[in-house]
Amino acid sequence: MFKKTIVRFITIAVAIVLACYSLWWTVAYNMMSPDRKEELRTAGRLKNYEDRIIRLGLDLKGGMHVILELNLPKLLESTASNTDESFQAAVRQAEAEYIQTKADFFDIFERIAGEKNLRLARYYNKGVFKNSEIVNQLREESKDAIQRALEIIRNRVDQFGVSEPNIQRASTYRIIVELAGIQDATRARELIQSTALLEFILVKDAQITQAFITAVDNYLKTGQKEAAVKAGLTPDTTVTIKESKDKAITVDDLLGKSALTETKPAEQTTDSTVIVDEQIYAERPFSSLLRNISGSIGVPEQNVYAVKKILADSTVRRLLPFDSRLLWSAKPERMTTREGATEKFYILYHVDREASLQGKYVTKAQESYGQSGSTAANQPIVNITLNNEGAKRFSQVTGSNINKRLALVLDDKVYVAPFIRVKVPHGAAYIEGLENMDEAKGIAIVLRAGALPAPVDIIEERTIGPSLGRDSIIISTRVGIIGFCLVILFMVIYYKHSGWLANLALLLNVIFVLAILASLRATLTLPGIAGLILTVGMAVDANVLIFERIREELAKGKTVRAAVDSGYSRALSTIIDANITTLFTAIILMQFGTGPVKGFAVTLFWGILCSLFTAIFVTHTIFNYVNDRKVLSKLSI
Amino acid sequence: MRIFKETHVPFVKHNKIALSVSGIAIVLGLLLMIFIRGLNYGIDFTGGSLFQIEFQKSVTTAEVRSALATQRLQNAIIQRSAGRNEYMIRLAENETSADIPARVSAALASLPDNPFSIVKTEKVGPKIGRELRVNMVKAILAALVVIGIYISVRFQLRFAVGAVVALIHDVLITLGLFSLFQLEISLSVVAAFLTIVGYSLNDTIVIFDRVRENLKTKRFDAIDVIINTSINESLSRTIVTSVTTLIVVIALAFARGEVRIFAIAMIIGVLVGTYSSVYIAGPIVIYWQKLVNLKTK
Repeated sequence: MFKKTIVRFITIAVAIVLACYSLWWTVAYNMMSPDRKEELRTAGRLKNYEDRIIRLGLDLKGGMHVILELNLPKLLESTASNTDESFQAAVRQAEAEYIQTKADFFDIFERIAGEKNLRLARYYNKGVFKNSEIVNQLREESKDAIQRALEIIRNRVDQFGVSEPNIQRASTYRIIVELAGIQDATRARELIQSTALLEFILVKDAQITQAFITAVDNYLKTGQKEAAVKAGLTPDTTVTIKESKDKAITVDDLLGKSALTETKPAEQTTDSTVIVDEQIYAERPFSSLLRNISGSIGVPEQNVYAVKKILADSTVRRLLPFDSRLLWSAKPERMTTREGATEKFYILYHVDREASLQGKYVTKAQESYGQSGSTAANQPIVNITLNNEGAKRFSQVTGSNINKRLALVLDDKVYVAPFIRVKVPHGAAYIEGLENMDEAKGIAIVLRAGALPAPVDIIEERTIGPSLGRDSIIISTRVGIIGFCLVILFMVIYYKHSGWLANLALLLNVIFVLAILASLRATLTLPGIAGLILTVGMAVDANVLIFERIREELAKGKTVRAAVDSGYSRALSTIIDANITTLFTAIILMQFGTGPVKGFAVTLFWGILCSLFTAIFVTHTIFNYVNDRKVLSKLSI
Repeated sequence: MRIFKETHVPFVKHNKIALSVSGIAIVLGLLLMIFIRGLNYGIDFTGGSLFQIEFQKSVTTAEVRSALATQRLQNAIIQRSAGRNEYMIRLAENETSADIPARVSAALASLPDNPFSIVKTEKVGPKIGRELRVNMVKAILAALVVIGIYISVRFQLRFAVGAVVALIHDVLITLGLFSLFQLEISLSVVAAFLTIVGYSLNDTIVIFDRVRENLKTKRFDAIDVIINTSINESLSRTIVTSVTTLIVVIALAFARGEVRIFAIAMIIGVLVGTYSSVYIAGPIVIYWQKLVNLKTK
């Protein structure tokens, strides 16, 4: 019996230790000074904390929540080759009906077109003639349009400097965008809705880029101390310093001549396993943060912030040749290091200030497989078709820049930068050397994004100022603590010493729920806090049921030990029945609820489960322990 | 401490009074909701836009309205937060065009010498509003069905009927009170309704569990006697849990904004839920039993 109690105590202790560890990150993060945060951020380590803390919802930290919907009527009109009044009337009617029902827009449109004897082939040159076939093509096109919109928004969103932007498809034609800490809703709205800019820009020669990097190194070295302080990089806080096994990072290596011969960067492994080497750091404060990824400048993910900080320095900006600019790759590359670990790298491109070609000239972009006999036989490629004017310009650009790289840039982010192999005279080119079909698809979407705008409407928008969020946290915490204390007081008055046991269970309950939220990376919202406070009130219920049963059993004249045992066993089925049904409602809320309601449901759900554990397991163990030590003749209940 | 030692209150005896009081309350509530005042749906469900504005100096509702009139927005619903220079401005469904935030800012800027900040804005399109409304009804119905099935499996059909009727009773009475006081129904209130459903059910199940137990031990007693004993035996627990829950929801009611309305819904719900599990759920089981007995005869 005693041994069993020991095992139970160990289980409880482990649960408490785990919960405290899980919450420690949140506490440490919130106690940290802003300077220390900045220091860790520059060293790329703050993410360790940010991944583990309890995340606050937009309603608590302020921010913007937007739901966008593809404007299907607008899309229909803009893709039609010609329109007339009866076509527009049909679109308007479909639109009006769409707002009222849940039916699919295209089904409605097809039906209305049928009712009005509208032959859609008159408006769309799609090579098919039946209304139903045309509508099916339009439906596919709008799915593509929402993909483009999603890509554009994802690509742009870090212009806001938001720490964890949440962008996701909500349904077929909808996108949810959540930006924490955004104050200027108007600017955010414009950025989300404005048309994307697609450009083709020539990448600068490696020598020019190397000269710039060396200049930055020299500037930082001479002004070492000031610059280091400015950049938040002091040698003793530059973390992740390991003993270098491979001292091969030299400036020459960083951008070697190999740049012109490499074709498939993804197959290469990076030449360094070290993030910052102390010695090299002192010699070359800038280039030591960079890696040569087969001729491109790779920046390990954790160094990105530090590099951006250096590049933002006003002197460094003046060192950059005036006819050029630096652009980041849109997505990180995953590389395998020599040790076999995968690291994420962003590529920094040094490109011309002026674009060589605008993306609006692209008429078609389609992923496919290379023809047999070509260099890209059976490899994924992207075919590009340009209109007449574009073809003329492209022919000039490609003709005079063979073996240079041409970056495909969407809203200042580089997607791919292939080498120009041959002159493209007639406006039909292809990009080869892609890793897989998914990458080809992604690039085709980006190429279409510049030419075919995807009209999106904001159908729901919520912004919460940061002060309101802070107020909410303060008030709800205060209210929660007051409620908590009152419940504790009540339980002690009503159940005397046993009341303290219930209160212990209550306290553990709150700790467990918060710890679970932190480790699940769930988001705490204002309704979530309300849910937590509510579970405080409801969590005592399990103990109340047990205590009342024990009182009844004691009144029947049972011994303390027997009364406790039968109290627990008889209350058990009631507790489970009663809590399972509440669990059901919590699950249903998670299913149907949106945003804040979901946050409430999540805390309610875990609150119930934790209260089952604390009431059935924790308090029972303590009762048993007390009973094991000596035979009680009276129970304070 | 002990409030109740052993009680023998004849709850079931008064069931005719209780059922008629509840019945009248529900009918009045429905009349109110359908024909007289309707429900005050928030913009989550109607669509429209909402602005929470904090002024630096005090300003009257009339002044705010006339300022809004300069941008032809005088039809807004304007609400002042008690004791603060803070206003909620709500605009209707057809006024969700993109320039609304700019117009509201421009209108309020016309108030002389009173800087303001917009602390919160919400805009919900009509289609989303409709969907949220449909989802709300779906969620509540789904909850009732799932609960009904669970109880019929774990207990018996007659108990499921009693529990579900008690839950519908709770939701209808709470809705009626929301209509009477014209409290705004937002997404959080719907969450509150579902929590009320869960809470009230908790109470009902605890009593039914006792009934089930007593049905085994006291085989020769009539069902109404057993139900009455069970209610009395669980009474102390019912009251204690209601008190602790009420303590926290009353504390929550001192918060602001949506949480406050959520808390108000919960206070009503806890009171109504406790009442219904004592006075409604049990009697319904008895009446259902009588109905079934009549049919089989």
